[in-house]
Amino acid sequence: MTSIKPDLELDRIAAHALRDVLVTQFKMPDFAASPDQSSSAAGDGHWLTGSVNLESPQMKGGVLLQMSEPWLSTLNASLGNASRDPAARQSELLDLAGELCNMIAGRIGAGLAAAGRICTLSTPHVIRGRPQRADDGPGIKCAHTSWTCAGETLKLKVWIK
Amino acid sequence: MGTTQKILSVDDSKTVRRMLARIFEPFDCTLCEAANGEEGLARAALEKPDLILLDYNMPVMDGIAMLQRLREDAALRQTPVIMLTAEAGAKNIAAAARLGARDYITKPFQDEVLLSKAARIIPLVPRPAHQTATDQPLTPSSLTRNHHDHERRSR
Repeated sequence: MTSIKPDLELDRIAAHALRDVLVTQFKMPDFAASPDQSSSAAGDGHWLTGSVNLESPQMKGGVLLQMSEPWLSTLNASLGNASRDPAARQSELLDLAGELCNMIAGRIGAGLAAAGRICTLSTPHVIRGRPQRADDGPGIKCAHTSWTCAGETLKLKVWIK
Repeated sequence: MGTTQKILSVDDSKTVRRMLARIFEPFDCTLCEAANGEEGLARAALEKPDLILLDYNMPVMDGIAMLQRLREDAALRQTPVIMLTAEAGAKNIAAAARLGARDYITKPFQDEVLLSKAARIIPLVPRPAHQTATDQPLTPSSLTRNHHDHERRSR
C-alpha cells in the first residue's frame, strides 16, 4: 500500500458523487447536508445499506450508502412502473439501493482516478440494516457524510487505505 | 420512417432497465430486456435489435464478453452497441472501442445524452400519441450533451 496524499479531498469527492447521481439520474435536487444522526430512533429494519469495494494493486477501499426504506420507496415510485406485489417491490428496493450505490461508487472511482488513484469497482452488495460504524484506523482515510433528502436521512461513507 | 425500432437493453439492474424503458417510452420503439450477457445474446438472436444498450459489469457474462460474441456472430456482428456503465476506466473504454462499440456512456447520465447518442444510430420518432406537427425524428444536434461525456472525451 502507498501512503495517501494528504490533499486528497475525500469528503468533496463523496459529496460531488452523491449530488451528481441524485440530481442527474434521479432528478432529486432537494437534498442538503445534515448533521450526523447516528442515534436515530428508527430501527435497523428501517434501513438498507449498499456497499461497493474499491480495489487496485495500490489501494483498497469501499463505499457504504445507508438509505431509509421510505426514501427508497419514494424514489422507486418516481421511476414509474413500480410493482404492486409486495415481494416484487422489496426486490425492486434492493436493486435500486444496489444501483444507487454502484453509480455513486463509479463517480467516486472517477474522482479518485482524477487524483491519481485508479481503482476497479466490485458489484454492489445490499443488506438490510446498518453495519456497525468501524473506527478509522491508522492509514485509513475516511469520509462520513450525512444528507437529508425528501425528509429522510442518507449516509454515505467512503474509506480508502 | 414509420418503422418501429427495436432496442435491447442488457443490464443486471432492473432499476436501469426501468429507467431506459421510461426514457424511450415517448418514441416509436420497442424495448426488450436481458439481465446478463448470456441472456442478451439469446435475445439478440431472437429479436434482431436495431440497437443494443449494454452494461459492462454483469454476472454470468459481462458486457465485453457479450460484445465479443456478437462480433463473432455473422447474423449479429453489425448490430450497433452503446456501452452503459458506472465504471469509466480508460481500459474499459478502449476494450469496448476495439470491439466496435459505437459509443460509451457513463452512469449517471442525462436522458438527453442517451437519446442524442441513440439518435445518431437509429431514427427516434415520437409515438403517434405524442406526435408533433413536424413529426421529424430527433437528430443529435437537437439534443444536449452532459458534462460527463465531455469530460471523458477530453481526457
